[in-house]
Amino acid sequence: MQNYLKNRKRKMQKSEFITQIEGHGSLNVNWDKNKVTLEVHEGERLFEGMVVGRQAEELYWITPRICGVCPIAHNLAAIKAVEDALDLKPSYSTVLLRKVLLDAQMIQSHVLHLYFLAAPDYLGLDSGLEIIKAHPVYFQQALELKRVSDLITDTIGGRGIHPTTTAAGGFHKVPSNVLVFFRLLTTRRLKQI
Amino acid sequence: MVKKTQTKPKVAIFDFTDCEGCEVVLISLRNKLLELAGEVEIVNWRLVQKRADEGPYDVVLIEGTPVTRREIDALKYLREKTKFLIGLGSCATLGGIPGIIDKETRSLWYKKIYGEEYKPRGIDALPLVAYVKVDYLIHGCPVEKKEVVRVMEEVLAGRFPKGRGYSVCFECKIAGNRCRLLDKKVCLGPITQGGCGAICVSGGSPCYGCFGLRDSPQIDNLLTTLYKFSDSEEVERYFSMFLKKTPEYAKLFKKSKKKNAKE
Repeated sequence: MQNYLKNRKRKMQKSEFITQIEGHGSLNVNWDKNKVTLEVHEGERLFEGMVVGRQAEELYWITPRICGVCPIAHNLAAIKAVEDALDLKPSYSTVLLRKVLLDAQMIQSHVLHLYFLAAPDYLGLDSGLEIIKAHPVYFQQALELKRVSDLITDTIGGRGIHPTTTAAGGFHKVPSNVLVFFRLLTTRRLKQI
Repeated sequence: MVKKTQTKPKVAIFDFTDCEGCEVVLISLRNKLLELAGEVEIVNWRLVQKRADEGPYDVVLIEGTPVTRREIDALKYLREKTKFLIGLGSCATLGGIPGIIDKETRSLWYKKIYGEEYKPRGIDALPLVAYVKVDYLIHGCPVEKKEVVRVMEEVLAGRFPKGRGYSVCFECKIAGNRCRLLDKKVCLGPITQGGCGAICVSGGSPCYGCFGLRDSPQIDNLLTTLYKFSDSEEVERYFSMFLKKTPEYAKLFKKSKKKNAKE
C-alpha cells in the first residue's frame, strides 16, 4: 500500500498523466487553477459514417472493431439492433449461447483490466508482465482465467477478438458436440483459484 | 533485421488510432508472450507498462492508423529511431477499418457526430506505408497469434521474415470448408495472403481480405468469376472493408466511378 501511495503521489505531481487504459488520452491537471481536464489524443474513426450504406450483415462485422478489449459486446449489440429492425426472433439456445459468450468476454476483459492494467499500480510495479516475478501466484491465476475465457470465446465465437460465427437470427455455426468434447478432452479443468 | 549482440534487443510497442485488439492478441499469447518478452527488453508499451524510453529501438511494433498530426509526427520520429519497424494489424498495414472513411467525407461526419463547434484532430486514415518505409507488415484484423510468434522469432533470430506465398484458399481447403464461390457468395480469399488459417470462412463469415493481397494476386481472374453471380457494387463493398486505402482499390473502383459519372 505504501508503494501504491508513493507511486500515486509521484504521478499526480505530473501535470499530464493517466494510468493504463484502452484508448489514448490524458488528465491535464492545472494545480494553480485547481482544474482537471480530460484530453483525448487519438484520432476520430467515425464509425457512424462507416456503417451508413452498408448491408445489415456488415454492421456487426464493423462494430466489434470499436474496441478490441470488449468486441463481443459491440458485436452482440449490433446483432440485437439488426434483429430488432428486421423483427427476427433468435431461438432460446441462440440466446443462451450468446449469454455464455458475453460472460466469457466479461471474464477476459476484467482479467485484462485487473491484472495487466490496474494491478501494477496497486502493487507498485512497472508492468503487468512483472507480476510474474513479484507475485507468481496472482499471475498464474490471471493466466488460468485468461486461458479458460479464451477457450470459451474461441469455441462459441470462432475467435475471441472479433468473433466470426455470430450472426443476426442465430449463429453461422454452433460448436458441435464433437468439438466441445475434444476441447474438454484436451484441456485441463480450471485449476482451483 | 536484428543483429545478435550481447545485450537484449530493445523492443517497443506503440498504438495509434485503433481498437487495440492486436495488443490484446499479444496478451492472449499468455506463456508464449512471457517467453518472447524474456528474450527482449520491452522498453516502451503504453498499454501495460509505465516505462517509456524514447529510443533508439531495435524493433518497433506499431498498431493502428496514424490519423492525427500528432500520430503522423510520432510515426516519422519512430522511423528515425528504429532499426526494424513492423506494422501490426490491418489498421497499420492497410488502413483497415478506419480507412473506410474517405478524406473528403470526414468533415461531414465530424459535424454530424460531434456537432458544428467541434475542432477535428484527424486528417486522413492511411496505412503506415503512406508516410514512412516499413520493414515488415503483420496483417490481420486482428492479427493471428501464430503469425506474430513466427515473425517475432524470425526477427529475433536475425532473419528477415517472409510473407506466406499462398492464398487463403490453401488453408481454407485444409480446414475442410466448402468453397464460398461454389455457393455463389463473394469471397476475397483467392487473392488474399494466407496465414490466418481461414478462420473467418471456417466460422461462417465472409473473407474481406484483411491479410492483404498475396504476391501476383490475379485480381482480374477473380473478378471474372465474381461477376458471373455478383455485381460491381457488391464486389466493391467487399473490397472496401479493409482494402479501401490500397492502390489496387483505387485502380479498380475509382476509375469506374469516373466513367459512370461521364456517362
